[in-house]
Order: sequence, then C-alpha cells, then structure tokens
Amino acid sequence: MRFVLNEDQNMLRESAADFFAGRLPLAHQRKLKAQGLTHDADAWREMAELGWNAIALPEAVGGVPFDRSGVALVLAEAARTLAATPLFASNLLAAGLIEAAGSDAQKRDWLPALAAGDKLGALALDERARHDPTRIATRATREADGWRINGAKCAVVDGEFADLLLVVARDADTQDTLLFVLDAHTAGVSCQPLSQIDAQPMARVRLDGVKADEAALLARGAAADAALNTVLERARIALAAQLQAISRVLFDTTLAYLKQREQYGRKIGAFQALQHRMARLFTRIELAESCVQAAVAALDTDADLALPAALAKGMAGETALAVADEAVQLHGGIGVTDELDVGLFLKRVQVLEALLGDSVYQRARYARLIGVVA
Amino acid sequence: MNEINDFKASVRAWLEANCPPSMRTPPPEGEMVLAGSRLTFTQPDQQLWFERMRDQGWFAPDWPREYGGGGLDARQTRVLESELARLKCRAPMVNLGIWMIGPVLLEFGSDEQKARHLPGMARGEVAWCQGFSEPGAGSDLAGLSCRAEHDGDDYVVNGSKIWTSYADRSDWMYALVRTDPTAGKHAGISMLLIDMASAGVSTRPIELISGKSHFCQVFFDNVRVPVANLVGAEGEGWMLAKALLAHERRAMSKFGDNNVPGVDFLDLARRLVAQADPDSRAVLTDRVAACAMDEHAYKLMLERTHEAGGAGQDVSALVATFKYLHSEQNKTRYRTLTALAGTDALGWEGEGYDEELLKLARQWLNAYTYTVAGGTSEIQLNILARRVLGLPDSGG
Ligand SMILES: Cc1cc2nc3c(=O)[nH]c(=O)nc-3n(C[C@H](O)[C@H](O)[C@H](O)COP(=O)(O)OP(=O)(O)OC[C@H]3O[C@@H](n4cnc5c(N)ncnc54)[C@H](O)[C@@H]3O)c2cc1C
Repeated sequence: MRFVLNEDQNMLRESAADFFAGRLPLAHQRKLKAQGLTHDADAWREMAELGWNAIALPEAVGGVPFDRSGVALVLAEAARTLAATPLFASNLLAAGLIEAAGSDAQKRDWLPALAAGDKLGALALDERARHDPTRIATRATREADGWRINGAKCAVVDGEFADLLLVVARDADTQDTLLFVLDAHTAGVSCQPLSQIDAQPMARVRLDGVKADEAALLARGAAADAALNTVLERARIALAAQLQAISRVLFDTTLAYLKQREQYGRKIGAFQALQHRMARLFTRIELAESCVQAAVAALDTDADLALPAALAKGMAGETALAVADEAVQLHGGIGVTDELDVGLFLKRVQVLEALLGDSVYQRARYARLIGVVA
Repeated sequence: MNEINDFKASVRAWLEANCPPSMRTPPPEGEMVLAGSRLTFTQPDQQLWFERMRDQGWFAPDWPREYGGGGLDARQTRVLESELARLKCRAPMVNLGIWMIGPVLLEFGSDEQKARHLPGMARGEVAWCQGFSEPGAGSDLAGLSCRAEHDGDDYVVNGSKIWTSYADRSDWMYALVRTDPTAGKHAGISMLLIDMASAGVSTRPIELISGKSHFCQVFFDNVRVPVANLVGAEGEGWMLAKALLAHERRAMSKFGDNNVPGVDFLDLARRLVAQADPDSRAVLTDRVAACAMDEHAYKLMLERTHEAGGAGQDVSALVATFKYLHSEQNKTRYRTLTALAGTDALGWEGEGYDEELLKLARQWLNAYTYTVAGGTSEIQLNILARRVLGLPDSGG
C-alpha cells in the first residue's frame, strides 16, 4: 500500500512522536537556542541507541533491517517539534552514499560507526546558494599517491559535527564526478559553523589542498553520478516529508486560533474571508500530502525516484511556504512575535525549502522530466 | 508673495548653515534620536542638529509660541517642510508628542493640560507613547477593555496595552481606556494621559520574528491617574482617537520603515538571477518581472493619484488601496528575493554571510509586520469592499 502505513511503520512513527514530544519538545529547542546550541548532543546519542542512525543499512555493517521510509517518518516527527536530528546528514546522505557507491571494504570501514552513531557524517556538495549539483568547481588533482582536493562548499547540514565528510568533486583532468569520503579532521579541511535563522546546524566547508588516498575515493564518473542522484532524491523526499509535517502543525495551530480568537464580538473564524483562506489551504495541503505519501512509499521500492521526489518536494515546499505565510498573517500581531512558535516554523520552512532545490527548482526539474522541455 | 519668498530664502539659508551634512542622510539603524527625559545622542552632529532646531522652535513649527512652538502659519510651515525635504534633513528626533497627541491637545485639551504638556513636547524633553491596541483588541480596537474606574480625584487603571513603541523609554502615555463598561462600545471609551512613572505601570519589550524591536507591552496594575488627565470629556475617547490617527500618516512618514534600511530589489535580483541554474532562471525571471511590474504600476498609480487629486478629482478610492498594495507587494518582493538567494538568505547573524544578505533575511521577516500593523490586509480589503465598492457590511 502506498497511502496507508503498515504496522511497523506506524509503530516507528508513534515511538518517534513520543520521543520528540517527550525528549525534544519545542520548548527544549528554545532553551538550546538561548544557550547558543544548535542541537542536543545527548539526545542525538539516544536516537542512535534507538537504532535510527542504522535504518535501512545492511545488517552486516550493523544496520537495522527497517525500510528506508522509516527515516522519512522519523524526520517528519522531528519536524513537528523542530528538533534537530543527525539522521538527514548522517544516515540518508553520508551512509546512503557509502552504501550506494562504496566497495565492500569501504562499507566495512565506514558504515558500522555511522550505523551505531559513534560517528556522524555529512555531505559537502553544493557550492552555490541555490542548489545545483551539476555545477561543481571543487577539483581533485591526481598525484602520485592519491588525490589533492581544493574547493569551497556551502550549506553543509551538520558539517560542524561531522566526523566523515562526503565530498563531491571533479577530476581536474577528465571532469568526471568524484565521490570522496574524508575524515573531517584531515589537514586542509576547515569548517565554519553558521548562525542560521532556524538555529539548526549548518556550515560552510573549505578544502584547501586536502590529501586523499585511493581508498577515500568511493566512486567516479557515471557510477558516482548515479549514486549521488539516488541519494539526493531520497533526501528530497525526506525534506518534503518534513515540510509537510510543518504544514500540518501550522495549519492545525492556525485553525485552532481562528476558533478561539474573538474580534468584533465573534470568532475570527466566522469571517468568511478567513474561512475560504483556510479551506483553500486545506485543499493544497491534501494535494501535497498525497504526493509526499506516494514519494515516501517509493523510498521502499526500486522505482526511479526522480519524478516522485520532484513532485513531492515541489508541492510540499510551495504549500508549506503558503501555509507559513498565512499562519503568521492570520495570527495578527502576535503572529510576528518571537514568543509565538509560528515564527519558528516559518523560519524552518524557509530552510527546508532552500535545501536540495526549492520549489522553483523542483518545478523546473519536473518540467524536464515530463518532457515539457527537451 | 514676496513675504513668503523672503521666508523661503531665509529658511533655506538657515538650514544650509545649520543642518550638519551628516544629518542630510537617512538615519542608519538605531540612530534615531528619541525625544524625552532620557535623551541620548550617538554622535555630536545629532545633538547640534537637535539643539539648533529646538532653539528655533521648529520641532513644532506651527504651534503657538506660548507653547514653545515656532509660531509659523500654515503656508510658512509647508515651506519649512519642503525645504527640509529638499535638503533631505533628518527628522531631528522621534516625537509622538508633537506628531500625535500634541495637535489633539491643542484642539481639545484643557488650558491646564496645554500649559503643562505642550512646552515639554515642543522642546523634545518629554517622550510620549501611544496606548491604543490591546492583546484582546487589535483589528477591533473599539473592543478595548483596559479599565479606568472613577475613584475620588483619580481614575484607577487596570489592564494592558500592546505594540506600544518605546514604552520602556517613555515619560507619558496617551491611552484609550474604558471608563464606562455599560455604555455602547465606542461611547464607553475615554482618553487619559498617564505618567509612565506612576506606581503600578510596568513594561515588557516585544521580540519580533525579525529580532529585537522597540515595541512593548505595558501593564497597568491599579494605576492612579488624576481626573485632570482626562482629555476632553468622558466618552469622547473614540472621537479623539480618530482625530489623532489623522495625524498618524504624517508621523509615520517621518518615522521611517521601522528603521530597517531597504535593499535595492532590482539590483539584487539581477545579480541573483544570473547565478541561478538555467532551468530555474526562467521561473525566477518571471517572478522578478511580476514583482517589478507590480511595483512599477504602483508608482504610476501614486503619481496618478497625486496629479488627479491635485486637479480636484476624487481619489479616495485609490488612496484606500495603498496600504494593502504596498505592504503586500513588499512581502512578495522579499519572498522572491529570498528564493533567489537560496541558502544565502538563511543567515541570522555572524560571519559566513554577506552583510547585504543578512539584511535581506531580516527584512523578509520584517515584511510580515507591515501586512498586520496599521490595520491588517484583511481589514484593508474589508474597507475597500464596503466603503469603496459599496458591498453590504456583515458587521466586523
Ligand atoms: C509591528 C507592529 C506594530 C504595531 N504598531 C502599533 C501602534 O503603533 N499602535 C497601535 O495601537 N497598534 C499597533 N499595532 C497593532 C496592530 O494595529 C494590530 O496588531 C492589528 O490591528 C491586528 O490586530 P490583532 O493583532 O489583534 O489581530 P486580530 O485582530 O486578532 O487579527 C487576527 C487575524 O484576523 C483577521 N481579521 C480580524 N478581523 C477580521 C475581519 N473582520 N475580517 C477578516 N479578517 C479579520 C486579521 O486580519 C488577522 O489576520 C502594531 C502591530 C504590529 C505587528
């Protein structure tokens, strides 16, 4: 079934919901932010102990035989309390790439620590403020005993905590895509943590003459491109699931407010102008939900993820932006205060939307995928 | 005619000689001088400009001299204002006294109130704030519930006001309070002048989604206010507030945009579109063009309104669209720019972000305030629908 979760999925979703509501409620995120922290390191360990970092990785390297949709389900629950988790960067992106592109030896070398949560990984891909995995300026030059890498990466989720960096570069000679897995503490790797609107971890990473040996090269050329694409599509679907979860929270919060707030001697939800706004949002949210559910289900199949991912991220992103804007506006003055949680969700939506291609990008991509443009 | 030309020449000469060049630029963030007892200046030119204008009596150029004003007539005042604008002189300070409550006191205040309050306003020595909106009364301001109960020579005030600019740095507040809960919604409202140093007054700053702000919430806990501080008569508060809000537009034009300096939309958009991937560029170009065309059309509409209004045509229907259009267009523009800037527009503070793009993120968040403050977009549309289009009023 695509649109109804199975028993395992439901159990995971519920235990994730309990974990985030109990251990990382939104109030906790506010406390972390006040302390200048972007995440709760203890909670990240606890997530690893729950086995979440290991979802869908091979059992031989310590993986948990749970379908990959599980990661999206957990991330969606995390989004509901705006909790940061290591799952997106470490499981979906870093471990996902090693699993998809690495040799058996590389998988044995790197995956057990990632699956156990003893190490965290991150993907250093984008170099431009708008996602564009095709324009990579980072260059790897072949040397006698390996490679020398130079480049600058932006928007590296969890970059400052990563022990392993998955680096996308181009072969300076052949222009082939190269995928490296590097120890983040290698000489020449520097990381600049950023203070982002959503107060979640994000970093820029520089690679200045970083030396990598042959064992650090995961894949090259077509194999590297294919692995990267697959992993990016999965990650986009997970982002869509998070956006959708936030749309739901904001919609429900706003709906409740319209039923409670009174002006002119009646509930503001009695004004038809607002009723129609909410009703219209509801139609958008249910459309997006259908796309997200189909895409999440596709994670567990061998289907090509490009179309479902573009559709889900495009629809969920655009919907979440609209819902967030409306949620702020329909709360009136209180909506623009930091005191209300609505603004925190608005900021998080902006971040999730921008990652791995915003709704504009997805729409352009969708047009190409269905042949509107050749 | 000659007289006014002479006046113009003398004003121009005076301003040229007395307005320091550094005061002929828009004030950077946080560099607005606030009138009041706790006057502070961030640089010497500010103080010079402040004191010179004060000593001319030009803080309140059209007020009578006996109240510390400049004693200018309406024509002279217009000349002064246009000369100030021509030289791009900064308002020497933020002064809600002169801009808002002062004119109301001049017209409706008792002789005692005028003598007591106007000179301090005109010299920029007293900071005034406005207590209108309440947590429970925003769009429906007349539904306010801050209570003032008559008790001997005093009113006892209990309740709360919100969105009060600079309340924590103000000396006095002009407030709308409910003196008669049994009278009709509007008829039970009065206007009181409240000394912010009174026992029982407390303030709490409001943090916005865009960061710190000068807005506060104010709490009144059994605050005693002398009956002599009632403006006009009991029950006249709503009428007085309407008279006062007529001055608001003029005041706001001096206040500036919440002190957040703007980014140049087209300049930034051009640069960012050029950096986008080719497929997205087409979609983004369309968005930018839509914003630019809307803005262009709006500018033409302003010009048209000005010209037609000057020629005696009724432009009230056009004017009724301005607030809605301007604030909504602003929001759309920032949404577009943040999309263009991608992850570069996600910066909150600190290193690692281009300064202009850090500003962009804050302005995007700030744009949400304009579709709410000063009457929400929904209320603007209600007004358009009913007063301009003549559609039936469903109440509210
Ligand atoms: C930054 C900022 C500055 C401000 N500055 C001042 C100030 O200087 N002085 C001052 O007095 N106030 C000020 N305000 C208050 C402002 O005027 C109110 O916030 C505004 O009028 C909305 O009231 P509210 O916040 O109570 O929202 P509500 O009135 O509760 O509105 C909630 C939502 O319901 C909608 N709504 C309400 N009534 C209707 C209706 N009849 N039909 C359709 N939709 C409706 C609103 O549009 C809004 O979307 C400021 C507010 C902000 C955010």
